[in-house]
Amino acid sequence: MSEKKRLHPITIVLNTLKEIREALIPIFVTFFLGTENEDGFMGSTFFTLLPLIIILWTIFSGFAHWLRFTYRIEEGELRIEEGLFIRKKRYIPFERIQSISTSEGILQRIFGLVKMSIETAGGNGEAEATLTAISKEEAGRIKEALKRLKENNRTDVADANVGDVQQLTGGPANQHMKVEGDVLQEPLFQQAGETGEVVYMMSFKEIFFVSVTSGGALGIIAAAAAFLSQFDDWIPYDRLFSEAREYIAHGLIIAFILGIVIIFFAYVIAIVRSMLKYANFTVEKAEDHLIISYGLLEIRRITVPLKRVQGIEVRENLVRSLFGYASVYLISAGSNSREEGFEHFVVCPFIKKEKISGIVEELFPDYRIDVPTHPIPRRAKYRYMVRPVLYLALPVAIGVFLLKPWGFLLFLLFPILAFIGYLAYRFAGWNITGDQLMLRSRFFNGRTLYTLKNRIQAVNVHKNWFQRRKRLGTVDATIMSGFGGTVGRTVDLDEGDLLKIYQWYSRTKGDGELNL
Amino acid sequence: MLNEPKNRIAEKALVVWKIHGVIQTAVFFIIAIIVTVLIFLYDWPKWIIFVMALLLLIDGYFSIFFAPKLRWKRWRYEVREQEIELQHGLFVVTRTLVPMIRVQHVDTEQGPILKKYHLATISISTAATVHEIPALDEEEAEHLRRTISRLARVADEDV
Repeated sequence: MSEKKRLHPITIVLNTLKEIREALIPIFVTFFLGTENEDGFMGSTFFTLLPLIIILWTIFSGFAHWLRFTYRIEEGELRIEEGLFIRKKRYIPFERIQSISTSEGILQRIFGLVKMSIETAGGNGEAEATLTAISKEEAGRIKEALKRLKENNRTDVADANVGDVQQLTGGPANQHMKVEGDVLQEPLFQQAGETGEVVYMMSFKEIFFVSVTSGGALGIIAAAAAFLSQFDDWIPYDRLFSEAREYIAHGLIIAFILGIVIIFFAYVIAIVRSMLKYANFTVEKAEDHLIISYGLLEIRRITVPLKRVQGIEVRENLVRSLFGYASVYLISAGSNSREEGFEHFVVCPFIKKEKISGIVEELFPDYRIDVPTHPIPRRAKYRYMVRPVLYLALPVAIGVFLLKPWGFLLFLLFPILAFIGYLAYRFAGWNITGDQLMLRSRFFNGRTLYTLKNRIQAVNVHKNWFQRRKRLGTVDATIMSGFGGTVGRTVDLDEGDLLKIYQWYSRTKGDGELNL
Repeated sequence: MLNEPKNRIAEKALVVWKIHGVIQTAVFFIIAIIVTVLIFLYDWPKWIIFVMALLLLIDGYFSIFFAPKLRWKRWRYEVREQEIELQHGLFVVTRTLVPMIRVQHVDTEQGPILKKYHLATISISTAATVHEIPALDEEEAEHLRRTISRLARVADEDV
């Protein structure tokens, strides 16, 4: 497979669409400028033609990028050459490839193609290389080729890995790197038709409910509230003449109704989008990895090696937790899904809290989900209630000052914030069961992190001056995830509990005090 | 073990931090001078000068005298066979445990001021975190780096 290959020609369309999407705002701006500037200095023709020029350019550029993009497998490397004016050559050695995943967009599905993303260790976000559209057979061939080559020099590869990383950090030879077997040496090749035992599926009802209560949909409601509040603040009724007032008032009512209709539709669209996204949500377990797949129009498949999972997080959003539902996330080292800002993989977007332990403990026998929570001491209640109030004290003060006299209503936020703080106080806590640490905290959304002693990278305990006076302290446990880490934190634990967690994590056992 | 970590950082760290404090104060001083000139040029309210002078005084005392001393007093570290323990902080005192098995690599660093005083900073990286011990004696830092490297390499999973 050493000859240079091009992607499927449908890539031209995909490239063009992508560029048009990026150019949408300039197109709109110039279009409106064009209609308003009738006799401007450039003349209207230029501005009306500009969008056309931009679109023609994107088509040309989409075509050119397709033409110039080639890939091949040569000398144990995936070699990609691309670029219109600036030629870019990217050679990715196989041993650095962490995972290969495929997904299908609508266009890819129509033509029976897949999009292949290739990730390497130490990548910082973006996929290292993306083959936008290749046939399924071709994808299979690439995977096979990589697999074969990898198996051939498996031992070399392990050494090469260590060398690689040393090179990356640029450290001298006596600075060693510990490469954990499950992090670098086990690349993952996801088979297209591969299936495992189904452990979790979402019913239509659940998908509907998750969509209705999702952050996106709720965000629209918040935006609606903001939109409605605009009317009172910005329209100076009194200064307008009575005739004009009537006229404007009519306009306002129409705008108001229009606004509500738009918001309603936006909400419905958000729900539909979310439902399409989560449709057919299925989690399967194959021998050593999980396959999460979802989506109706665009199918996403995510493969998570069980060994790479660093922790499990249960999130309870305010609305969903009222109905006794929560979401379960896996925190994985070198996660390769950053879609929609998901830093972590969602395994169960919507699940009855009682059912979590059944599913999670089946997948991960080392974890215990239903463990009792050691609460926060009562003397920390006041601190929990004051904290959110303090966070917003300055914005509220500014708001009150600027929006007199209605701004005083903002003071009503304080009791609400104090109540949120109280809920956080009730929610927070910790537990240690064997080698498992659980940390719970909440601001708006409740977050329960489960992790194992040998997955925690470091533990911090700290106290500030106020905490010291009340014999309280905060604990942080950092685990590995993607780029950087994820920190589990619980604030205002009892001093004694803090010591217990610290001693549990310490490899050197002993008695004493923290003396912070 | 739970009594404070055994080792303190080099006493010369105090000097280095004081120099940092002086530099910081000097920068603020220059900014204050510029603002003062502007105040006279454009006839802005004069009380700003007094406020600035006061702030400068407080900051100078804090960053040259108060903070270095307290920080030095708080900084402690201990490297054991299985783990590294750190303690530091001015107002928020933090104690950190890093197991040897999690250590990925150790670096020493030396800026121009540290070099002049034969000091070096050591930074210990895990897969997700970086921990620094500032201002150790050069030899001590080098020794520590080797020790941690060696211990980290032999550390076995104990769980």
